[in-house]
Amino acid sequence: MAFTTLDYPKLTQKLNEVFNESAKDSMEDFVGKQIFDMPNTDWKIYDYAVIHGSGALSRVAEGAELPTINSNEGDSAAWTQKRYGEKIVITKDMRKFDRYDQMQEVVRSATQEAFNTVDQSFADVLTNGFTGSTYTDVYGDVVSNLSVDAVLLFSASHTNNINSDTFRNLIRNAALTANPALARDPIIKARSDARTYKDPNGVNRPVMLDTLIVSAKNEDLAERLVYSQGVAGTPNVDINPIKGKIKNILVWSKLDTNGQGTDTSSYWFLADSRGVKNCLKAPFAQIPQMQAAEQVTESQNWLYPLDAYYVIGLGYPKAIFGSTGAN
Amino acid sequence: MSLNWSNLVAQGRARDIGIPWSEDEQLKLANLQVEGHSRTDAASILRGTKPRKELEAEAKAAGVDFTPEATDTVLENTVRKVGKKNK
Repeated sequence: MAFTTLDYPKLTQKLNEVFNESAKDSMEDFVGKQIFDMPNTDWKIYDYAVIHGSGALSRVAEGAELPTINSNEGDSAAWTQKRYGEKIVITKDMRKFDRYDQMQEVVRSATQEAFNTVDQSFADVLTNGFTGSTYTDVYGDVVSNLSVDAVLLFSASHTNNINSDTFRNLIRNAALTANPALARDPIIKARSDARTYKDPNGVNRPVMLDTLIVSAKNEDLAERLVYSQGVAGTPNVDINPIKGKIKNILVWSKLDTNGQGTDTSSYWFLADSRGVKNCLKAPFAQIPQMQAAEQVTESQNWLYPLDAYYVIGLGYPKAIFGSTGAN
Repeated sequence: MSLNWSNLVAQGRARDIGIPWSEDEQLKLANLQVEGHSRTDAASILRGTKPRKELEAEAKAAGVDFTPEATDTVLENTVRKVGKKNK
């Protein structure tokens, strides 16, 4: 029976094991971490800066010095860490009557919910990237959905600080209609738009969209579009050109309904797996962690604080394309 | 998340500090640039302020101290207020 303060360490160790096991499972189901960069940081304020490529190689005469590389610094932003947390309550009754199943379930459920909420906060960044300039996040905070160039995350005209060139990461179809439903045609058009991307120096730096991100509702359609031998839904014998080019389908159930309860299941996204983490950032000063218990004198509950520090920031979003699927 | 608003505004890429261009305004900006206006001039037209150089000249003439970070709208309002005070 975990009853006196001498029992703290014993029970804490046991519940920590439950937490660790549950956190490990939750991390495996955490889809957001595959497209968001989650560096550990000690900085309360994370300074982000875009570097717009650098000069090309130059012809060097025999014996001459190599020219110094010339890079352009792009936009910058500062992202401040926020704390999120809750307390897990182990009541006196649970301890007095040795209800270890309940204690473990409370910790397991709270841990899963913590990671789930972080994952939902990541998905909401994508589903709220089409209109307005702010949205209410899963924690109830009003946050910005502008990328570092002060343009909505998904836009037909992202800007840069060097010149007036723009680029688009709002998916369109061959008829140039924006926000098309998930289909083969807009995937091809988006891949073409991305490949012809030119950095502000005018250098073509192809963005290779190789990851399709869909809601659970669109899983079947996505797999048929990408994995079919022939062109999906047609009787002809053409090969399926997308097969092999889209290397990964991420099915993200957090896209089906956003944190505010709106149905966003028709939304879909394409990403360049090599570059997307330069666009979507979530520096963590602390991943969700459970601390040692504190005792509340009146109720004799033992409270285990569970908290995390992180912030979400949107960089220069050339490696992530999106569509609401409305058209 | 805090963007570098002063740069964005100075470059004509945001309406004002903390206020991005709307989608309609972005289209208008693009059209104005196609017509030959620079991005900053196009932004001044949309904001309804005078071109930056003109504003700076007026501010100096009115004796207003300012730094390059002062946005067009702030500069114009300040010049207007100082002008009223001096009358």
